[in-house]
Amino acid sequence: MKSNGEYVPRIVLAVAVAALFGVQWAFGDFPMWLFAAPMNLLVGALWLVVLWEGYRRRERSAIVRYMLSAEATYTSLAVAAVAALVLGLQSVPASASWPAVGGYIFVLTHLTFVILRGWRNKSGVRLRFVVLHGGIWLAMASMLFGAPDKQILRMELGSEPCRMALDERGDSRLLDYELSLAAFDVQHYEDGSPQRFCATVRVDGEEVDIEVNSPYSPSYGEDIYLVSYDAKGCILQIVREPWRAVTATGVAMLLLGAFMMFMQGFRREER
Amino acid sequence: MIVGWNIFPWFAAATAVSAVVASLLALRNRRMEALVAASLAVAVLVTFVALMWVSLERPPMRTMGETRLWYSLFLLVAGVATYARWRFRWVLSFSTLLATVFMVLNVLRPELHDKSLMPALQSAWFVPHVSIYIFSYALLGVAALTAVYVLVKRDVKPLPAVENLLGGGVALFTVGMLTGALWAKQAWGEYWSWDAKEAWAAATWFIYLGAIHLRLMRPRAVRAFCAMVIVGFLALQMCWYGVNYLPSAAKSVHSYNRNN
Repeated sequence: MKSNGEYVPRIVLAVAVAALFGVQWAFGDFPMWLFAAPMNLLVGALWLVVLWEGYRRRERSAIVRYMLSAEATYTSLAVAAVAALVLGLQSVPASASWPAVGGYIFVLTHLTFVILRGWRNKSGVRLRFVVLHGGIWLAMASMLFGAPDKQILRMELGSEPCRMALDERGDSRLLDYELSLAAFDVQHYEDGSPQRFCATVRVDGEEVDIEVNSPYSPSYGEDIYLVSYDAKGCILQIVREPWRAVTATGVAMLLLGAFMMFMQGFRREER
Repeated sequence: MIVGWNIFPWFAAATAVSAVVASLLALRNRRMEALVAASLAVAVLVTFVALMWVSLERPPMRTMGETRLWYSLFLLVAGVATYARWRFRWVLSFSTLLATVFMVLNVLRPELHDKSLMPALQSAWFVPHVSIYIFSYALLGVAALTAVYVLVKRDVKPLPAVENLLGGGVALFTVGMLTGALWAKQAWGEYWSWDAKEAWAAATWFIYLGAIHLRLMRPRAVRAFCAMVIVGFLALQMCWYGVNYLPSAAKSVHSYNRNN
């Protein structure tokens, strides 16, 4: 039997969804850049404290109980599946739209509550549960909270030394090092299809080869990729991803969890 | 070159014969003998790969022919691992068939031995990404067929088999997605770019996760569970080849067989 308060979370959710689409319509995309470090750390810590306090008061909060329910699990997976198709089918990526960010936070919130509740049972820590759900949590959280700190820069590089690159909004960014193109090598197969592109780039005077599938990493979380080339030189992409270690930990946990699921099946561990 | 494709037909024949013997033994439920024969098939192919590696003085992973060699090897290894763990009698026949197809192609189409891959495909991630996916498709396909049987015949006896196939299939599907994401990071700097194939892969994954959670949380909802396993496999068809017919596939990072 549902008590009288149980419809409240669904109304709150419906209002929130309408509000997200309204804000998107009125103001455009979510201002991700506002949350660059240290704002994302502050907001993330605050969010976790609110979730923890909410979890402790779950007996008294219909919304927290809803966020712990099986319905929230199915809603999360359905939202994720629909969002995947919408993101995949439209030509312009809208991963920073208000509804996308809102849906992402809903899924992550549900996942957080479920981990708080389910990480152990009477017989101890549920290892596979923690590895799988914790891995997804780390990967998703690092993508969301790391997004404002991530930078994708482009630069057209010729033989002249250069340390200026453009970010996605077209603003100039200064690099910590100086780049110049020393040589560029293109090889083709007999039928004319490309076989190998290789740019030899001087990074602060030191020559390194940058190829497709073989970026150069000048420092932790920063990689230089070869994107394309023309008569004047080559186009490089510099990706700065300070949260990489968190993402990598999440991916490693998911790989381990997948291995455990292959070996054990998905049945509950206590059975 | 002393060791090379010239001696491959011998190794291919020895591998195929051992793998076929293993498949027949597995079908007759002679498990230990089947595992020994299947391991022998793997060992023969590993020997050839190792000889190629030493002879070429680089990992044999640069041409179409070399890639097929790894497909065969990974499929055989995945078959042995799945059979050793889950004892599906048919699984060695399946891995043997696919591995043999790739080996026969290498024998019959020698012109592809030296056909190098385009730069984006020249990666250590390529072979595991593709062959793990191929194998997960097989497990998920048999899971869907078994789910159809449960629904049509109203017989719940094969349900544990559906669960095991689904668990193994989704585990390998997850590894396929993650190896793809790590490869994309290495090639382009982004883990995920939401092109049509990736979007359908993600949607498929979420549907399968829904099926698993439904099974765990509502064990009595057998029909809904089977329906989701079938819907998941239909979504997988879109992911696998259906997206090639979508207009958005023209700019997909996964369209390697097109002239672009």
